[in-house]
Amino acid sequence: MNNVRIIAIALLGLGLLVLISTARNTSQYVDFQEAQKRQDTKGNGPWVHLIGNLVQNQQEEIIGIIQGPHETSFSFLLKDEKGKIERVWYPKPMPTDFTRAEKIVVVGRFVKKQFHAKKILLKCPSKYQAEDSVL
Amino acid sequence: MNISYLWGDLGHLLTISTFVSAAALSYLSFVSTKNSRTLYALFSIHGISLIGTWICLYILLFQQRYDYYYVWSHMSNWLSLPYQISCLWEGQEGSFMLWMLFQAILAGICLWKKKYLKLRTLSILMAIQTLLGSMILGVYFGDIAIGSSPFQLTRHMLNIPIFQTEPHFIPTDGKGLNLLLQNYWMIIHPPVLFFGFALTGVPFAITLATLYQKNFGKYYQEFLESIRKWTLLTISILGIGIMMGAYWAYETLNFGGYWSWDPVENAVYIPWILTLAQLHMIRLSKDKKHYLRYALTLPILSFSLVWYATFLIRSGILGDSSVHAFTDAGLSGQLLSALILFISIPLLYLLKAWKYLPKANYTQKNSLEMGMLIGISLFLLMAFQVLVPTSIPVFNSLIQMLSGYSPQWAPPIDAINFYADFQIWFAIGIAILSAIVPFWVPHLQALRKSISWFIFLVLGIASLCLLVFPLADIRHILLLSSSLFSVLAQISYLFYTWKKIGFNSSSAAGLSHLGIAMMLIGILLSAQDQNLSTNYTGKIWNSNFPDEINTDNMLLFQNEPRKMLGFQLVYQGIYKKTEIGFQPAHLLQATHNPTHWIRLDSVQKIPRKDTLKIPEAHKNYFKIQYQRPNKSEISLWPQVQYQEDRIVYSPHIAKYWNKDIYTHVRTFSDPQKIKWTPETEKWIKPQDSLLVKDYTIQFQTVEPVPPEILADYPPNTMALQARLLVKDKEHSYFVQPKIFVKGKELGFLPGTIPELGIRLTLIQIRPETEDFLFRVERTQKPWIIIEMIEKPFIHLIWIGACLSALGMFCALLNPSTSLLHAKKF
Repeated sequence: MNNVRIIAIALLGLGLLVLISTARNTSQYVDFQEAQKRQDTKGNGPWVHLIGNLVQNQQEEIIGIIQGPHETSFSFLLKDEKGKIERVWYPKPMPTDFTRAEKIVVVGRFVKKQFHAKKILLKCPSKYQAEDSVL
Repeated sequence: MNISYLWGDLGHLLTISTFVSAAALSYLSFVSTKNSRTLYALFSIHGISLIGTWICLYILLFQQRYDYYYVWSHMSNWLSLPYQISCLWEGQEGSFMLWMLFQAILAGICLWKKKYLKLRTLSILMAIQTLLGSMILGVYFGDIAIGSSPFQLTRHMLNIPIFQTEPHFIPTDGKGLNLLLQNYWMIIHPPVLFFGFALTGVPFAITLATLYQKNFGKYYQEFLESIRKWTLLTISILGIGIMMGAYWAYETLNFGGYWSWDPVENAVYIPWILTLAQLHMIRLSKDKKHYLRYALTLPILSFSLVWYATFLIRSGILGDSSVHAFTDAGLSGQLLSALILFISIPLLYLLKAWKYLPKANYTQKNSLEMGMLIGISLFLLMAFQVLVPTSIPVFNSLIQMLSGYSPQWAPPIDAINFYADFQIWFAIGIAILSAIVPFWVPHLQALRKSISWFIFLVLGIASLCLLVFPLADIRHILLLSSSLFSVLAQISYLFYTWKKIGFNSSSAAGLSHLGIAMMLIGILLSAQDQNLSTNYTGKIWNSNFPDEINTDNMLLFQNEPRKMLGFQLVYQGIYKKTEIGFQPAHLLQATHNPTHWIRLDSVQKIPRKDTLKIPEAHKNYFKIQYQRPNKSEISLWPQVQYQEDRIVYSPHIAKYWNKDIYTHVRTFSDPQKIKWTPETEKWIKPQDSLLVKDYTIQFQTVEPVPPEILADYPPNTMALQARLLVKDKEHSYFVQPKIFVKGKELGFLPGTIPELGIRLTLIQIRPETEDFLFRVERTQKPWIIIEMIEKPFIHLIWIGACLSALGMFCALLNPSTSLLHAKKF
């Protein structure tokens, strides 16, 4: 029984360790204001998740996308859920379906006051489809 | 307009019949005490309705009935037959139907073949089937929808104005199958995975049926043997399904790996690990009765985690954290109720039975037993460690529900390292245990004496490996040595058992463990990948790139050989895969049928008479010649697909016995977006030559444009074409720019040489002096940016996976033998 008890205690201990490490590594969804608040004096901030959508003009065209040389990188304007707009820099080619995304999650951080994304997740509409692509 | 809704309405009716017959069968087999004809009849109705539903959906797909939403969402004109079939299960509804199909097959096997607690098991399987059936029911009670039917009409689902003005409008083409899913693995991977899902229901049903029995002791051995077989099958099928998905990701997605710890992958990984724990617990309880209570708990746990996975993937709750989760199709409430049902009811029965289940009599544990217990604990921790972070979105929702305030927690930033940092320790533990524990199996006792030799041998081989792969991380060294130890140990068990008693279920276990150890070595070594496309040119491709992208990628211009470390690469342009092999894309001309293309003559650019079939014309291949000294040259074919504005890259994988060379294109110069810049305009006479930068242009003759080309132009058009030969250092190219004159209007058709990035236009003629004015325009030569990675011994992962599945199948054919040789109670 002693042995089993040792295993049980070890199991609980390691389980606790897992919980602690998860809690320590958990990131947070924030908005731009919050992310900027967490910057240090040089304008560098911690890694965060940020949800938003692309900025459109009155004709519902997406504005603010700038392609880098050879289209190997690009930057775009992201409007967070509170409506604040910031430019996001992304060091890889534009993902497929990027402009169709109805919601975008960027994982990134402020570096010298510029928001650099390292990962972009897209939520593409599945129920809704723009009229022109139906026809 | 006369449209028949027969197949759709029939299909919908059959889904309802499937659901009702499942519910009736579940109830009837629960209350009846012996086999009756009614059961068989009901099951036949159920089976026929389900197959009928499939046939109806297939007919609608085959007829391209885009007035049906499911067809419109997944099908498109010109989709080839295998992909048409995989359309059937691409969507939420279709994948539930696939799960139901397997569930029905398993229920049928249970009805016809099963002896142990047949009726109760059947009843529970059909209860699961009823819940699955409710997900595709598509029946409305007032505003509340039960399930989402695959037979809904597009005009009811899409809220777009055209349906108000023209209610019978039918789209002419569907949205089509996602480009990434147009891969042969995607035809086979979902069925295998859903078969695995359905299989987890069987040990669950057997367990629940057993718990329901009052005099449980009577069934003890029968229960364990029955559940053992189904657990073995579950592990192998689910495992194969997962590995197929991993292989698809490796071959199709461009992220350079096979596993990314995405929540959707995790959601399936967790129940699979738990079925492993379940198998080992069943093994333990075979010899020691008091482990039975855990052997009864684990199938319930793994099945409810399959439903938890289903809930995570399909309810939309993962929304922000996963790339490939479904969005909410209005099923979240239903899925949540099913999940709660599948956790609470079995738990209730388990608690009720708990005090009657055999208790431990505190005898001394032997080493074998201890080892297995530690192993099972490791499995549980492995699953738990993945479960907690994967559930972060659930915690957010729960806390918001309880307190009204969402903590906005997000998954770890660097998922791969976060999970790997933990899982590697578990893997080390598993490898060591699987190597050491079998030394205590009674008939292998003689081997135990030589354990120190084993350790010496392992350390020797491990050090040799370290010479080839200089691993710096202590965890990597540990994993390598422990996996090597496991490989050696398993091989010697297999031999030893073979000599002593032949092949039995413990040799099957040895085979599976060997497979797992090989997989671990493969995972470890392939992670020591080496970048081959290191940028030594000192140039920076793009100043916006982080350093690693500038240093790890190589820019190749078309037809310009680039020397790399130890080999040479030449990019040779974009090709398409035709029925007669790869053909340059610029020499292929589309017709109205997307699979039929016309091959142009390479010199004259005049259509040849024959048409070529290109089954998947949206796939374009970059031809890269890969030349190593003293080795024959091979071509690498990384891929890009485009459809409308979607661009999807896939890698090329060159396989060698000891490594894969993984080449993928990051980006390329799109021929459709070329910008020409004028270089010069020169008057020249026929037979003269012109030197422009690094190439010469030889003006040969002028001739009238052949009448068959002129036929496409308005009558009375005069046209001339010049024949020009353009030479660079190695190649010469032939172009024929044309000029058209009709009255005072002029038309030009330039001659383009994409390989050189130049374009020649004949813009003016002075007939009196025979002078011709040519405009030379330049663009950048076509280029690609590639990354090449060498992944050592990655095959070990796939070979190991196959071996361990083989071991499982062998175990299925062998009855389990007692491990402990202990007296049965």
